[in-house]
Amino acid sequence: MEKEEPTPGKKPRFTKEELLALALEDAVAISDRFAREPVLARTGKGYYKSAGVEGLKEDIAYLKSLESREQPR
Amino acid sequence: MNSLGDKLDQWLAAFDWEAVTAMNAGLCAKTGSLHRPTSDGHEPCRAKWIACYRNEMSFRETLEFLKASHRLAPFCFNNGNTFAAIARTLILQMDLSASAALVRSAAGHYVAGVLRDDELDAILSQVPVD
Repeated sequence: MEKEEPTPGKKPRFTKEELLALALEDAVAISDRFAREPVLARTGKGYYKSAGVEGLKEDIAYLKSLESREQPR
Repeated sequence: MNSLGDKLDQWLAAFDWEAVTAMNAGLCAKTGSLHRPTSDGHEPCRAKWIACYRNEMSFRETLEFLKASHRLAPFCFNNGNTFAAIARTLILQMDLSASAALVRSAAGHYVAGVLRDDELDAILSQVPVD
């Protein structure tokens, strides 16, 4: 059987509660890449410390791990 | 074929203002920061959010909205990661294609204010949707 290509934009994959929990989890995970103070509001220029290639690899691994965490709906 | 940036949806429907506030409160607790609304940015941001978060918007417009919310700085601390994390979480509402990590990274950088409009457009235009 031909493997179905994933379609961006298709949803829902998570409940509202799951999404909020994932958002908070991610916000904590990336918190060391931000200045805590409101830099963008004060200067008009944002700040986001690069995580480099390793960060992208971690993102890919994280997204893959979510696939296995998903429950069929 | 439309690109991901044009994709219309109620992208932020799961994130009512109470959820945004709870996220910032949780984040402040985890990072040892004071969770408090700002005197100037909180009310306009809250009002705009409540008026718009359930609206159908393109993915691109949604990222602009999140960046504008970040710029208003409704909270004393941790505005950037609050709104960037929401942007990055939007990707999880889609199927996890090979481009998901790139879009997720781009969304976070854009809302954080370090990726230009044209750079975001160049990335989103490479991700086709139905």
